[in-house]
Amino acid sequence: MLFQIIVSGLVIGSIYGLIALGYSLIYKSSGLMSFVQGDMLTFGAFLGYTFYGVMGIPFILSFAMVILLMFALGFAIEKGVIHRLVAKNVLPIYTVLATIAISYIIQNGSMVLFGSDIKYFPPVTSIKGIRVLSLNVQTEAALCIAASVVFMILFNFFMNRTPLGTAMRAATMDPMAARACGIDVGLTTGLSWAIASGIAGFAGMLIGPVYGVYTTLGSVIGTKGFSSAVVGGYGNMLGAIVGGVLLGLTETFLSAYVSSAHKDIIAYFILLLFLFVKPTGIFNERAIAD
Amino acid sequence: MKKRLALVLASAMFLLSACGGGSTSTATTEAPGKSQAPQETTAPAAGTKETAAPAAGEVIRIGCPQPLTGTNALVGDTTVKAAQLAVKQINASGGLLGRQVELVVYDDQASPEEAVKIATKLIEVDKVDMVCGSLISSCVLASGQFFEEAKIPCIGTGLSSTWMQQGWDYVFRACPNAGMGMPALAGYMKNLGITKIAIFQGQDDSSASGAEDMRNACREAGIEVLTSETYVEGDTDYSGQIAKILNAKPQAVFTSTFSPTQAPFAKQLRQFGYEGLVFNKETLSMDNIKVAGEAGNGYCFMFPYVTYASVDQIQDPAMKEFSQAYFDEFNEMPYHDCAYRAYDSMMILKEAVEKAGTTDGEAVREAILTIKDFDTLGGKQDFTRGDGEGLHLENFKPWIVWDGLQIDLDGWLETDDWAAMKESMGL
Repeated sequence: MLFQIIVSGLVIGSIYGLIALGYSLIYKSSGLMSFVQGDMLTFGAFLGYTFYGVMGIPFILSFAMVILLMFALGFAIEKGVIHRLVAKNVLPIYTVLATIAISYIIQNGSMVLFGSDIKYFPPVTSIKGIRVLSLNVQTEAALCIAASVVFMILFNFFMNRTPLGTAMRAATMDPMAARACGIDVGLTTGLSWAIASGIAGFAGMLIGPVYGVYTTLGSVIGTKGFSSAVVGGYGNMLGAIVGGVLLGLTETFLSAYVSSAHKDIIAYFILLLFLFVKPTGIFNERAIAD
Repeated sequence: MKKRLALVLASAMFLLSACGGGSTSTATTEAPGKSQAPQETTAPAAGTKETAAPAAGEVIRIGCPQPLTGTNALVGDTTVKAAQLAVKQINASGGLLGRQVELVVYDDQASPEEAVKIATKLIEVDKVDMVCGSLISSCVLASGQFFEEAKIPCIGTGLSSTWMQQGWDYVFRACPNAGMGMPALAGYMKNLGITKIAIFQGQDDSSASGAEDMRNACREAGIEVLTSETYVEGDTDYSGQIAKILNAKPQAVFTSTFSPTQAPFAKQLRQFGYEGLVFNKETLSMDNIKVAGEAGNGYCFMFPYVTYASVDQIQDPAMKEFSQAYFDEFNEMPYHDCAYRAYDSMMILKEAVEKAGTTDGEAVREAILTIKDFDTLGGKQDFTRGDGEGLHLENFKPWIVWDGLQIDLDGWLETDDWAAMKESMGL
């Protein structure tokens, strides 16, 4: 039982982590806050359901199409809305509001496009589950954990060790100096939104078969992903995943051993306490100076 | 799709006219775009009736406020369709008392506030004779007082026990009272030899009251509730709760949750290794049965009726006839049992008007109170008990979800599947 609880906590935690990764990526490379990640996940799941579940396109191909489309959507949102707002020199809060607006548009748009009933997302593989120590873990669930670890390492490496990642960080710290060094700031920001959106779509494809697909699928996951990003250190790739997993485990253990009715109260009280004790998050992420 | 568009347009027009105030009377009578216009039907009525027929004032108007937008839109849509089908059938067979029937449809948006506005409008502007009320219980609760005061008989299609407890004389129900399902279910568990259960419940009004009803019913039936676990709406992972439930070692699990929770919970519960029966507050929707897949096997509930994926699956002749007619009309199966609720409500109204020989509210009310042994989709309706309810405990039938279908539970208990499951439940 204990092992099963840990696995479940890890699965939901890694989903929070993947969403947190998107938030952190956007913040790290544009200094902006976004609230669309959760609904991007929903939309990705719906796209996956359409390609894979309705049209019967092979999973790998559907998967690639979803990530590509989500990538494009993220890029378009940044270029079409966020970039324009930033260019108008508005207060940062306006761009935050814009992301909230986009999140509602996506949520309600999905309802209009796909309907308000729960969609059946067929399983990804014919393998029903993987046996780990006398325990049956759903294949997709195992994939979630594996994917989040891979992404965490990949993006940590990407942001800190590759020229493009360095360019992205530079663009945030001082856009003007970055431009002077020949960095295409518009491109790096757009890319970060595109990647974040791609990850959300990816997560949506993974949890579709586990939970089914419906319009509010990502809304709570989105907020919890945001909390995870903060706990881990907003803007830190390792912290995003670690924060997500921590939140997932805390929640699951609280409802298993303390009280399911008070799970969120306790979890968020801990979060609040944490903010006071360690305002820079687990991985000591300092705010991007401005 | 077109029909839904028409509905949206109709409700938009209604909203516009509501905002406009002043001279709205023409706009509002136009607004119910889906209403069955009397001239559309070719009533095979006798010549005398035809001469007496449709001056606009003589049309019998039945109000039908339902949630047509928002999360309940699909359910509201099927409800209105069923009511329209009833109207069409009534008109095709000569109308009511020789008069044509018209359905006045509004979108109450599942909002009690909107329901109150619509009730006023139905009474003052549309001057409806009767109402087939909302499937949203809180809307019926909010608007009931208005119909009561106007002496307009209203048959609500929501399931909550709350609005029938108001003691209103003109508000009735021809569909199940959710409060009755729980004692029925607890009784059934007891008969199976189940004495210890665990409850998984939501915190929204309907889920919480369902769970509370079950706890009370269990106390009456002598079943011990080992633990009650809750979740927060929007959560997708329930492993902690499931661990706690299974650690309590119940013989069966009872769930009272919001719809999107059902399938993920079923899957996770089975993944934790629980193989026994799961009793549910209500039917699982077709979507949930599909999403849950094998994990849905063994979900039991008591309800007068269930929905079907095709007409061929239906055994009950009356249900088959209705579903076929519905399918012929709309080229789809009823999406939700709300369709049955609305159709039965319309049939009760029809029966009452015929009995009363008039549409006068007081007389129709008296007539409803005399309806007994009246066959409907939900079984025999009996309004003579004075509680305003047409369906009672004996109308609740046991069902089980098995291999994607909802089948008769009593019959299933005869199979080897039950023999196998019984052992795992420690019975």
